[in-house]
Amino acid sequence: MINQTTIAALEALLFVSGAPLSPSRISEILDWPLDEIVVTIKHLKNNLEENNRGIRLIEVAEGWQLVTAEEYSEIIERLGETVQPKVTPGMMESLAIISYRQPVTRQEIEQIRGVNSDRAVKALYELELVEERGRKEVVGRPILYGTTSKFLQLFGLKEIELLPRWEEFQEEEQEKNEGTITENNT
Amino acid sequence: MDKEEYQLELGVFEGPLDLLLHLIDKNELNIYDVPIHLLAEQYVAYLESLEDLDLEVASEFLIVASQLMYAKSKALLPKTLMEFDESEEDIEERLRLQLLEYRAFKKASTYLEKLYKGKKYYSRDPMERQFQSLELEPQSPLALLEAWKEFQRDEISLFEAEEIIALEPFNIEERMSEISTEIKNYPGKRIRLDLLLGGGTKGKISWLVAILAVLELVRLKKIVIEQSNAFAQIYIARQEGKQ
Repeated sequence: MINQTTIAALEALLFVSGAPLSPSRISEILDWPLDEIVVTIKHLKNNLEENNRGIRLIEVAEGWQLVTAEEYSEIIERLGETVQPKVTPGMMESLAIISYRQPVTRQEIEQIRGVNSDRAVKALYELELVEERGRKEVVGRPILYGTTSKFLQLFGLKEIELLPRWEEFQEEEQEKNEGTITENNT
Repeated sequence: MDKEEYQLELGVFEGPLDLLLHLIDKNELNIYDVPIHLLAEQYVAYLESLEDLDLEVASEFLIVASQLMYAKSKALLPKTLMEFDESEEDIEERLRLQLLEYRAFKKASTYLEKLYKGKKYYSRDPMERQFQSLELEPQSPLALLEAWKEFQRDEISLFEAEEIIALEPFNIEERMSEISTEIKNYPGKRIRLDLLLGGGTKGKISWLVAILAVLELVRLKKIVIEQSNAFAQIYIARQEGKQ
């Protein structure tokens, strides 16, 4: 049975959790059937939106999380300096490679970037944006890296599959190439 | 290149490929068409323009510089005169492919950057830690008193330990001869290490001295250390063949 009490229980749980909770985890904690949880989540989400609350329920990192409403971000920033971990361009490049090539070794990242990436990968690891995914069975058994749930959270992604297709970053170049070929033909 | 460009430093670029891309974009070239060797001069000129070349950073840039110069020299020589190694022949092609792949990743990286910077909502940190501390069992005030007493006792014993150290200087050589005699008196000329060390009752320093003495005796090949398997009891025995 979904009523105001069950919605309130879910809200309380999500408030304390802070981090996103998956419907199955919520179902485990509240000991309710999963389908009821899914409906309750929708109710809570709608409640918050319809009442123009400062808090919203969003789907992120394969779960649901209570966050502030986007329109108040500027007000929140007046509270003081917001702490977003610093991600340098080198780290961002390495992160892009890990996102699309995971699981991937540091050596493979360096091959693509043509530059030592030891520090960048270590920093990503320390920010918990990437994690170890076992070792590659080649000489030296290098560590394989993959992205974490925290990565999805900090980048506002529901799941890793929702990143743009890899081809989208290449298309422009291919079009140019085709253009050149036709030019050459004429 | 204008003067401002020259004032850039290597740190501005994420690597040699980044610098190459910068030159390609600046010259409005298409990676597919551009003869890479034409960029060699600009690339090297850029490296030379830097007043202090941090070798650690520059080494990666220099590798690419040498590849570019090779491609350039190759392009300058008449093809009929020179027979190039097949694998060397496609340095330029490899560099081109690498540039294309790198450029795509740079775009992906820009996309991620936008996601990261564009996120306009905030969330709280999990409160889980508080729950962990709440899991403590309720304790009576007596337990607190006990804990306080124990703390005080520990503090006193610390002072005592210092006094003992001052009064009783430890001597590794002395301990070595003691251990030798002790082993001799033991049946089978073998003694369990923990018994030898006195089970920790004599304090940490005496323990350390005993361990050092044992190691020294092993080094002098007067005793051997035996252990049947990991975590099993360790035995000290007299080296066979010695008196």
